[in-house]
Amino acid sequence: MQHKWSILLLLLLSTLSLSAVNISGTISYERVHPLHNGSSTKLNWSNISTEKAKQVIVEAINNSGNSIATTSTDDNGKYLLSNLPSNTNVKIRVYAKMFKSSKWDVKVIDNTNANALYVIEGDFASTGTQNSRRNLKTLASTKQSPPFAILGSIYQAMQKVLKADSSVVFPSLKMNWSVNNTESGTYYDGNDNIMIQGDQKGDSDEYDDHIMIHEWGHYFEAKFSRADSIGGGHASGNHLDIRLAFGEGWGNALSGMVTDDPIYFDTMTSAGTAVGWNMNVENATHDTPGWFSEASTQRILYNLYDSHDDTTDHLSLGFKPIYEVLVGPQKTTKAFTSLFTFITALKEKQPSSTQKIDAIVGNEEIATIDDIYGTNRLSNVEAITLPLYTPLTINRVENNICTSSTYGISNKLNNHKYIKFDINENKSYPIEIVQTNGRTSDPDFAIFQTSPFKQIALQESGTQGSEKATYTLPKGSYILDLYDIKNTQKACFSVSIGDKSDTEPINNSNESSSNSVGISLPENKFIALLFILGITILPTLFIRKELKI
Amino acid sequence: MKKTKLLLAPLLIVMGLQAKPTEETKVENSNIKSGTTLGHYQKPGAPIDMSYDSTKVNAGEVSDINITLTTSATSGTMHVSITFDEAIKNVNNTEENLTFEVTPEQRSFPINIQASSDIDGLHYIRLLTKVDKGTASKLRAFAVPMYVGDLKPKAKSANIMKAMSGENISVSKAVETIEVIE
Repeated sequence: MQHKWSILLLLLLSTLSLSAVNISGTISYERVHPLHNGSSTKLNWSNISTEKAKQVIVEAINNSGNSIATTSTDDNGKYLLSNLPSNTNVKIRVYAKMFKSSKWDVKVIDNTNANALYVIEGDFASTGTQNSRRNLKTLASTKQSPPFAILGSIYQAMQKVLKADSSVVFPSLKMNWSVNNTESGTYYDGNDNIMIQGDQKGDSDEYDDHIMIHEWGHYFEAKFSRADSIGGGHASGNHLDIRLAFGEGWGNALSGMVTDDPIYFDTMTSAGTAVGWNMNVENATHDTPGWFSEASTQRILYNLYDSHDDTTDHLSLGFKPIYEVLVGPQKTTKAFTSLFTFITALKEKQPSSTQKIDAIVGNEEIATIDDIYGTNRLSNVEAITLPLYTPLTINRVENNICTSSTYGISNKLNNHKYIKFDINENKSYPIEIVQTNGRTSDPDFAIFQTSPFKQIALQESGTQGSEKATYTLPKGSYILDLYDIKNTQKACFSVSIGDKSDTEPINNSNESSSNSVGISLPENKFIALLFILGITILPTLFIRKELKI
Repeated sequence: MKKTKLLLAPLLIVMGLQAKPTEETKVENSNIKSGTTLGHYQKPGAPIDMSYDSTKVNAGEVSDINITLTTSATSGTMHVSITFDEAIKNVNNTEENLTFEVTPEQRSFPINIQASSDIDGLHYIRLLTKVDKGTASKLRAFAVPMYVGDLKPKAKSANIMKAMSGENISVSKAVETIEVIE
């Protein structure tokens, strides 16, 4: 009897082993590496390495097209699909997608073709009766590798953050790449998409890992920190709006931090020839340094991070202290996010490193940063620039707050002027901005409450030379962002919040306002009506008397 | 009546003063495609923006393409290398390597191209640009579309399928090795 049971047991065990098999393997992709030559860089198609596809989804697909097992690769690109039916035709499918519940959800899609998720597959083959290994690899030459190269860069960035804070959960992110992305540009859209150029005859960024990480840095700022950047075109030598300068400098510096390689590069093709450029985020030539410079910002941030000492950099904070400022005080700061808010917070968190931080900042020709408003700046910019934040008293008029296009338009220094004010009584306040040197501008404004920091009003009426609105404002501190959408060469304004009952005007700067040009009617409509009635009726009364009408 | 007119006149004048000027009525030409990078998000690179108008034409016809390159630099030399898709003929023999001197007063540079193609479809004129100020120069690449013939909407590619989740997937074959594990 016992013998029979043993035989049955053996038969059962052998049947089970026949009915289930494992398929394991490695998923890899080819990455083309850059070749740097001075300040030029190009993709070197003679230097291609095979990289492991980490944390990507792998499935076994049967003849009916159904998934019968699913898993993810590990950090060595290895996967294991267990308990697959034996002697069954399956193919291995790999998605350009990394998904880990409550951790990350990143995929690469073709935004020019039904937003299709990129997938590679092997051939149908029988699972057989024994475990087997199926390795899949993408080749750079067939354009299959880009989605996995992109994911590799993003995974590297996520790991940098997780090392600083293992509790982070990354919101979903879509990387939009296609060989047909010829005009799209490469950028983060402010929400959950990064657009990536893929023009193989022009500019394509799939192997430019620093660019991928730069754009991911904007996503990180938006989701975990706070990004007040107004976006738009920018370059290293520009005098930028301080919000933009910080955001772009952060992205550049992050690319160096994540890869531990300070050479940021961008490759492209022209007339069939590989071309490109690079910059050293640690120590590139100081072209127009300052607190308005993305290049200065990237150098400061990278030098705070790195372990390489040089003339003025004797600090090696690593990533975590920088991360902690970004997700902490930078997120809640009461001024626009900038180098000033970041450095002020960093010095508060790292008091023993204050002198070393000041030295790194000072190397960029930036006076010691003592507060979030950039007070005590050097006067190496046009006179109307300072102060960066003009304090305004309620019910008084501030004159000579001037915007200009000296450094460029829309997102450059002095295209926007910041005015800070406090409200002590919850009530309605008329806000009035009037150009005092003509009617050439179209001033608009946005109002931000500072705690919590958020935009609460936007006024863009299109009125030439002035902008007015009335808002009910609770007690608290605010910033008004004034800008001229016509980008007038120089427009100066008087600004008031409240009833102007304290009517002694305050001249804000050394600039003197010029008189209005031409005839200008009173602003008040009632007075305007009386004025016109006066100039039309009085003469007619006179004529009537003469003509005896 | 005269008194009424005299009284109404100033009222009408004030109403007129309050009225906003009407916007110029624009007659849109659907054959002209335009685009710009001005105001758009940009990755680091040369401080140059590009705007264009490109006239849609039929095969064999000449398209008038106007490109404007604008830089925020105030000095230096802007270099532009132009390449044409194989299907495009550079009818007016626009120079393919251009240079412009940048000054504070002159920061926008127009380029006119007359081009044609015998092949229907969407073709591209590509520009590689930089502003040379004697130090390391960053590059920026642009692509200007040229529309020829009827551009039919692209049919979904044959390699688009549905995954079990219902999501569209774009499938390609990988290089695979299979071995039995002893």
